[in-house]
Amino acid sequence: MSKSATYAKDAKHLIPGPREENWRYADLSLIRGNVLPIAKEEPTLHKPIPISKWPRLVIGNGKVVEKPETLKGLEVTFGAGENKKSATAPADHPLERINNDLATAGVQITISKDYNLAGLEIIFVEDGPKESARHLKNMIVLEEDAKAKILLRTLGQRGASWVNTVTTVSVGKNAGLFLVTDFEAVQKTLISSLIKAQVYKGGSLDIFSLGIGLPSLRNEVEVKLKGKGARTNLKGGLLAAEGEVIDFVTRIFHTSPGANSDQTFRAVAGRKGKTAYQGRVVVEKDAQKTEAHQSCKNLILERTGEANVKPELLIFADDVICSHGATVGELDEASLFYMMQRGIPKEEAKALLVRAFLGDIFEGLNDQVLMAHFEQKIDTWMQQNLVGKKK
Amino acid sequence: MTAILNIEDLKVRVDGKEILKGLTLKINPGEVHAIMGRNGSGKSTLANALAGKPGYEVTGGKASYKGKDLLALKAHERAGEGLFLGFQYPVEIPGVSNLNFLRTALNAQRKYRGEGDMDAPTFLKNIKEKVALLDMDYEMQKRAVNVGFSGGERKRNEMLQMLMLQPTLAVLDETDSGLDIDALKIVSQGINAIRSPDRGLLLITHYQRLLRYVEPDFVHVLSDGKIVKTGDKTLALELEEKGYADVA
Amino acid sequence: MDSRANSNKELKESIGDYKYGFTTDIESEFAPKGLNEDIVRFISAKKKEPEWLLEWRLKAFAAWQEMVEPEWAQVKYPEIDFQDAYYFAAPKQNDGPKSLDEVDPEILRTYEKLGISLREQEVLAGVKGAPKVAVDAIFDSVSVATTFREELKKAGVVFMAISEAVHEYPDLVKKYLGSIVPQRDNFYAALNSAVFSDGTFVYIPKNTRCPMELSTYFRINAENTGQFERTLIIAEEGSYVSYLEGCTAPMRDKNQLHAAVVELLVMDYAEIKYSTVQNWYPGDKNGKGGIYNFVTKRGLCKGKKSKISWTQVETGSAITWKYPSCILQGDGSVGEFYSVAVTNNYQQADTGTKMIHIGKNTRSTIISKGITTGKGQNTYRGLVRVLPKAENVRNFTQCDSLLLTDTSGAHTIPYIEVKNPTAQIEHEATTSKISDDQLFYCLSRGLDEEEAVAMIVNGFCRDVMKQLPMEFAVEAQKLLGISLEGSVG
Repeated sequence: MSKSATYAKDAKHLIPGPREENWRYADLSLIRGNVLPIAKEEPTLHKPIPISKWPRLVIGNGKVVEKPETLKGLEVTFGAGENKKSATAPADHPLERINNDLATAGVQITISKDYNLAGLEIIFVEDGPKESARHLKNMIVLEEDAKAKILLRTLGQRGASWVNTVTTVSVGKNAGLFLVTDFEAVQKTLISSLIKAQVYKGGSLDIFSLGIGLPSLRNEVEVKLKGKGARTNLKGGLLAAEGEVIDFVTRIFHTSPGANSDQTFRAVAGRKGKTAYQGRVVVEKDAQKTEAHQSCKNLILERTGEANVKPELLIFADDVICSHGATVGELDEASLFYMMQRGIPKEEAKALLVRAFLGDIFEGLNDQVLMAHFEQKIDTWMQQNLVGKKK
Repeated sequence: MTAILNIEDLKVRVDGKEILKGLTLKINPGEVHAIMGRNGSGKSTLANALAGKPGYEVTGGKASYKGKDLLALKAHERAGEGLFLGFQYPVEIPGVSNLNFLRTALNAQRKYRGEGDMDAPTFLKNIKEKVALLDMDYEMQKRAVNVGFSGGERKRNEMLQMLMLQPTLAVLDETDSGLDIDALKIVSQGINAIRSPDRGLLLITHYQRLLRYVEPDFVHVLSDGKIVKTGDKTLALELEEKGYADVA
Repeated sequence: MDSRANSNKELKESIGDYKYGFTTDIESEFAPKGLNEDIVRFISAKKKEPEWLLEWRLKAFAAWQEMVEPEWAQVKYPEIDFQDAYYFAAPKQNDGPKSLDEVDPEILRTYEKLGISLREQEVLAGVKGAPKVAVDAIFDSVSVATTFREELKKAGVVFMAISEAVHEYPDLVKKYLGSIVPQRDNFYAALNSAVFSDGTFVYIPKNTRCPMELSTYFRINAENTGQFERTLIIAEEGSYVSYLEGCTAPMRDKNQLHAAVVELLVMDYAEIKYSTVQNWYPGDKNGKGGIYNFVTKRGLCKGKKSKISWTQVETGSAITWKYPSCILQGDGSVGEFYSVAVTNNYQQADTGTKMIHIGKNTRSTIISKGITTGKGQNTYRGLVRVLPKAENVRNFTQCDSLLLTDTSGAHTIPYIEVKNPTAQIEHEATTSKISDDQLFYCLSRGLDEEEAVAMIVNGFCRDVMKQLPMEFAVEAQKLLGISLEGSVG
């Protein structure tokens, strides 16, 4: 049976519906009952503008478009990778299963022991005719004591299409990865991203994601903390404007003692925008001395905006400190008035307060270039959704 | 000469209840007025209504500011016109630094008046001067607005903002409350520093102790939403001796 | 299906043609084992119910047959054979012990620890001829005693078994039964609707403050009996009632099923305070036996500024599946949920609440304290939902879990779904073990470890316990101590 035939057959029943617990907030309407064909190679590609001055890997429409001549300390291969074949056991994640079957491109990076990769920008760009899909499969491996900062960008410049990415990450002993994910998409495009990470003894994984200006984003991160002193820190912002659905899902498994996790998410729903954060922390039986914290604050800016939060703690060990906190509310009236009394127009005051609200997620990003990039995105979003719209 | 503020028969309702019941008050350039009264007499309502706080519904009367209809202006426009309210309870705004806030506010007001932004060096030089005058710690300006500030620090911070924004009319709502004597003296210095022939000041207070340091030209007694008595600074002393019941 | 068919066959064999069999055998104390339409008819006939109620039950039964058991809860148990249980059991008149001497000493020891008076103990233990205290006691399926009825009657308050109310207040029962928990609401609600045996009916007329706290004791006595009570409380405009529910069950090796439905309706400015101390038999140390407690409790705050306050102390049952909820429809209505859930040994609890904000200015508070020890599993599951037209909603939720052993589990699964910007929702949750410092402090002041743990746990639960009526609070506090017995090694 040909790939696309399998896909067509499976996809019908694999695409989860809103009644399925893990997908209750996601917007998969683009692909439900409308199986998009795999994107063929296209001649035209609008080359993306890089954010950073780091070495770049650009994969456009499934083909390697740009790569550095040499990359010291790295081993890079392209394509859907061997890990695709190794994924023999059917994944219990529906979009991952589809990805397993259909991934045609991706990048596999191994950062060798002790190497410090100061920065790498990876860009996946999909461009060309509408109504098609691309499944990308990536792998990032940090060997012992390696350090890396990677910016992973997914740009869906093709209308009404689906970009479905699965990235497996392995952070070796005492290694440290800072992964920044960035998404851009044009109208009706669905981006689904799944990161499956394992962090070993003493290793650390930081992931920053911003979901903004996207028709529909499903952003999933799963981290297994598999050794003493392993830690992960997930931070993210969710901003949904009219008709947009920004759906973040995190799952953190503490499987061995003495590991830490920290999650900070801030969500902002504009008019007819919908945000959702489902964060699960599982502390397994042997994972004593675990410390796990979650914080998710939500702002609803206008009527018809919608905020959904489901922060789960599943704890099977006793010597733990775990917490989660969630709030939902609108902008503080007293603060708004205070600012206006000092002469700041209302819309500008709102924007200032929203920016302040998002402030927590930028802590630790420590990169002026990335910071400027994300701040600019937020400013543009607010310009379009706050300042432009007078009541 | 145009009065800075001219209030005629102002009626204000809050939560469906009439609080100001026909208040009349005129402030000319260079004048310092003090409004005194018991809790619940409507002092803070007057301040909030002048600043245009949502929920303060004007049901009657007029208020003109430098000849313009004050009540037709939005809150930030009133500020842009030079009306400053020193809050009784200044809010905390987490995530927004004092420096950023003040600079944004200052430039927003300048923009309103058709002036260009104040450049960063001038701004910093200015703020450092005022911080010194008010005996404050400049480092605190890098922290979020009022977050973790004590009551006294907040009041000083209000004074700092006032000195930076250089308003035409400053309405100071219970600025003296919760201050120890040293802080009171410093805050008074701030207020006196802004006194000038072309500005007006409206001090709203419960006690006369602030008026020892900032001498008013007029003292008004507010009771049940109206000004029931007006006098000079001696009225404040009289009030302190005899209490509101005997005087008003 | 097989077992259902079998028991059908068995039933027919034992009573011959069912219609005759039932009418002639109507004096029997037990309905035959198993569940089918005939059993539903049997129960209804036994209670001399009007036709409409039989129809209602049959409709529920038909619905139930199409439904599947929910699997989303964080509880594990072997498949329940719904045909291997009796769905109706009336106590035999001479069934009870003649005096307390005949009562199982283990039960008496528990009662003693609870500080329940001898007289009350007699009532609870079902001693024949025991004086009736101010309780509506439900032994197995039939309400046998309702006291203080006269005094209540004077105030216009109706407090009686629902089986009686069906006859005495048919209009009210017909109007409201199933109006808040529809038959098809969930698997267990449908089951209850088909076979409910008895329960309590309370009606508080307009502007009446119920002169006393109403209390009902449920007790499962007979072996293999499912207990399916049905409670309906209606508080008319401006009224108030505090309702207490205590549950106990003797020890049985086999698991027993309990699937109750409670419906509350509150009109303008009225308030219902509903307190539960649930101490069903939790099973033994090895997880053998114990009650399966699948309960649907829901209140509708229909009137403006109406209020429902649920307080529960859940220490018993092998499995607890229970989400007392509030539908806040009236403007300014208030919902509260205060819960302490303890799981020891192999107990599993999946409990929490739903607060559905529909009206303007509605408020809800959720305080949940989970304590888990032994090999217990304790889950808080809750939903706070704010609908688009619900302006100025406020919710505060605090969920804390305390773990006493490394073999137990504590889980928190809250859902927050908000569709109105004026809502202010705050949710906080923590999970931790007892602090060593606290424990040591208590020990150094002379408490033994068990006492120290009990004291710290009681402190941990204080915010909930203080919501209970005084007498109940004392009882509940002692119960906590008992439930934690053997939890420190």
